[in-house]
Amino acid sequence: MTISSISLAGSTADDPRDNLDADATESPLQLIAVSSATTVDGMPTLRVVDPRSAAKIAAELGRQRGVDLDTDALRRLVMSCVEPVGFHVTRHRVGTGWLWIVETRQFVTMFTLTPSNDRLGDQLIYAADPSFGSRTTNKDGRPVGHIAVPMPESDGTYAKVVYTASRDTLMEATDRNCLAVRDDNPQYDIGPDIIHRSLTTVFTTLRYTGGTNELEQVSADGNSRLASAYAQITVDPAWLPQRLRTQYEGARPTLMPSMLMQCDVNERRDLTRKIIKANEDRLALPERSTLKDLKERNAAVCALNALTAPVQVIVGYEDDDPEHGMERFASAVRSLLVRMNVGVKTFDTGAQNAVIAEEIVLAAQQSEFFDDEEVALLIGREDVTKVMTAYGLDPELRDLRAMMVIAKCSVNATRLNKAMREKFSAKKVMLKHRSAVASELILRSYGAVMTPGDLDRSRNALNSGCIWQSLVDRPWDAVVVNDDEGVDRVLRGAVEELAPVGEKETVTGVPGPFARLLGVLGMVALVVGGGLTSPKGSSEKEIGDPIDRSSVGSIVDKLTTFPWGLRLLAENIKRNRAGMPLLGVQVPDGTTDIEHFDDPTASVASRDARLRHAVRIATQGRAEETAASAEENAFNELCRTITLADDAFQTYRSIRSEDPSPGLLPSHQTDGPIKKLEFMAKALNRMTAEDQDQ
Amino acid sequence: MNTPSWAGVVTMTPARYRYLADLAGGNLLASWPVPHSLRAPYDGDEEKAVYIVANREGLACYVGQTRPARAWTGAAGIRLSQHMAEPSKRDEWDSFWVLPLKWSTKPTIVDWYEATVAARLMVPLRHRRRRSRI
Repeated sequence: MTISSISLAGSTADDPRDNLDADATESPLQLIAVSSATTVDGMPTLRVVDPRSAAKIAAELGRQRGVDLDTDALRRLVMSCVEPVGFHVTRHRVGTGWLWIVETRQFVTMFTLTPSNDRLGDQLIYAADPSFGSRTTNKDGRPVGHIAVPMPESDGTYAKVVYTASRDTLMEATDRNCLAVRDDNPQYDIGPDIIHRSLTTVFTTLRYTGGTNELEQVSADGNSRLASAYAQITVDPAWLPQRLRTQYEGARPTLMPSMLMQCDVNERRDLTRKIIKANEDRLALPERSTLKDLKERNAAVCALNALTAPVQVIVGYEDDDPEHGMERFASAVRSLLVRMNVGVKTFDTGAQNAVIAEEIVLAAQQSEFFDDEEVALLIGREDVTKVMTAYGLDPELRDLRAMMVIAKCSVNATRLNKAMREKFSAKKVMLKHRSAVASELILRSYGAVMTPGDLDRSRNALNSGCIWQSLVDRPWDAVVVNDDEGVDRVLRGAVEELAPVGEKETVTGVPGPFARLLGVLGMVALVVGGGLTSPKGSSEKEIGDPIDRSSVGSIVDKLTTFPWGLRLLAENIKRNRAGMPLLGVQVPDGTTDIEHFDDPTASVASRDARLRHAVRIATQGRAEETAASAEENAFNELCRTITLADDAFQTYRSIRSEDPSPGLLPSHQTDGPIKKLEFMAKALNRMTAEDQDQ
Repeated sequence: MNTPSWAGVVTMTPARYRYLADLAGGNLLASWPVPHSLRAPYDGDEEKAVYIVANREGLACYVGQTRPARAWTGAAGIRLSQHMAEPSKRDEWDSFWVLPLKWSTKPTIVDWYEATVAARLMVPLRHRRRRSRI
């Protein structure tokens, strides 16, 4: 190393451009031209389409085969395009028909993310929760919390879907989706580069309850890309219409869906134009070699790169069965979306099952297995009070909805099984598939009352298997059990099925329909109330003895084979409904007696471990609790070891016999074993009585 | 002729049967101190059992248990007819004795009883799918 090289290194360190802490974005980024438009001095630029020419192009597009949109939607489609030329309609296969799609490039400001918050499906509050109303509304009647957006429906006439919900719910849901995917699945290359893979969008009517219908274009696939693009675009409140400015005053917010949803098409065109102008103007300024200048230029490049996206717009649908018309459009779009999105790693099991569960219920509805009321009850996105009342069930009792869900999910019917097989892509419907569907749907009644931790615990417990074989194979009915007397009636029936005899209640019957019904309600009470959780090895340490580590369904199935088990289930159904701590069972050390314990301070883990231990002792018995005394077992051990010694002797003899003429063994070698064996034989003989048989 | 695969130590007699049956205590369903031929039809009605196989010399050479998931009558007979698929067993096994157990007997007790009977007869416990040594 020379002196000059050292001084050279020293001088570059002072140069702000070589700041080692600066990240990669602080090298100059390149603006990627996406349109053929240029400014007067030849720079590439972006232009929004002028409404009059848009109307003409829209009319032409509307005449193409497969396009099934009204004039408004078509004009909007064209006005959102960067260059509305050369539309080519192609068709794509989905489950029940063909979707017709146009590929083009559009401004991301002209459409928005989907309001469907399925990705967060396991953290939402569903309308099926009896306390939905009180927990999710502010004093002024505005909803709060993360409310599950109802499923989109088909428009019926055009290739559009319809969301019906309050304006606040839809905006909140869309914003939350945007933030969630931005955090979960950020796309760092968007901004420095343009969006490469097409987004899929669909025209949507947002039917605000008690308000207006808004036409909107929303992305069905590509929400993560869209959210990352929005993150690159900052908005000056002055660019927004007057009425919105105060909301964002004093800030430079990034683009959010709710911001766009509050603007009409023309306001959005204005906003887009202002974004283009501000950023292009910034880039037109002469370059300076400061870090600040570089950062600003890069931000402008990122905003312009992120401003447009390749888009596949769904413009039509053709059902395989023309009788259905546009009826199945929404589910066709949905299946497209689900297939694309469920695979993403951030879509965790709970949310994935929540989506699949709905898919299955809807598929079963299409094959006319479930009627509309059953679907409303199962999906639980809308208030279920009416449906529950129609079935004669008390809508305040969450376990009754759970009972209905389990009853519907455990039907072994071809049409339901087909739906399950298809959605899980499984060869055969297993109990785990049924359990996954049932557990997500059951928990929709509990979103507002349980803490996220409790909800997670219950989800794991139910997912370990909340449907057991006899629920599927053997008959049972969900019946009205609205009060404690009802529970007692079911208990009496279940005990009669077991037909216990004598003081020790020796069971002479088998569990029947009543036992299964009691089991279902009892399982919900135990799981939700914190008396039974998913099987864990650590519980064995807590007890110091093996426990039954099967699914919650299997534990309850076993409980229903004992009269004490049935009584425990019935008691806990009542306690859980009354909001009281559950009754537990345990087996005291060294016995096989099942006894109750009623300790409100006991932890969930210890209740679970004690119950599982009791079930194991009751079904398997305790190893040391046999007819045998210690003496008998010691004698068994002696016999076994002698048999082993004989094995060893036979092995030795066969090896020795490999020698063609084995010599005799020296007495020093054999006298030890011989003496030991003779001593044992003599001693055993002395302990033995005369044989009376001979 | 080959060395027999199924050697035994003690002779099965009705008295020995009664002695073994006593070990089952209250779990015994009934006492049947008679050998059943493996070549004749069997009409027992037990649902769980420990059984003892005697070879041609009348020596106890195998102890097994049967506790099917569902109640089948004559469970031991069903299990033994499965055994008879193996040639060495077909050749050397001759008769069997059944210690019928109550349906309510717990699995761990059945396990314990099988192990005890095997130990008392000086017969190694052979688990299924493991072939005997020659």
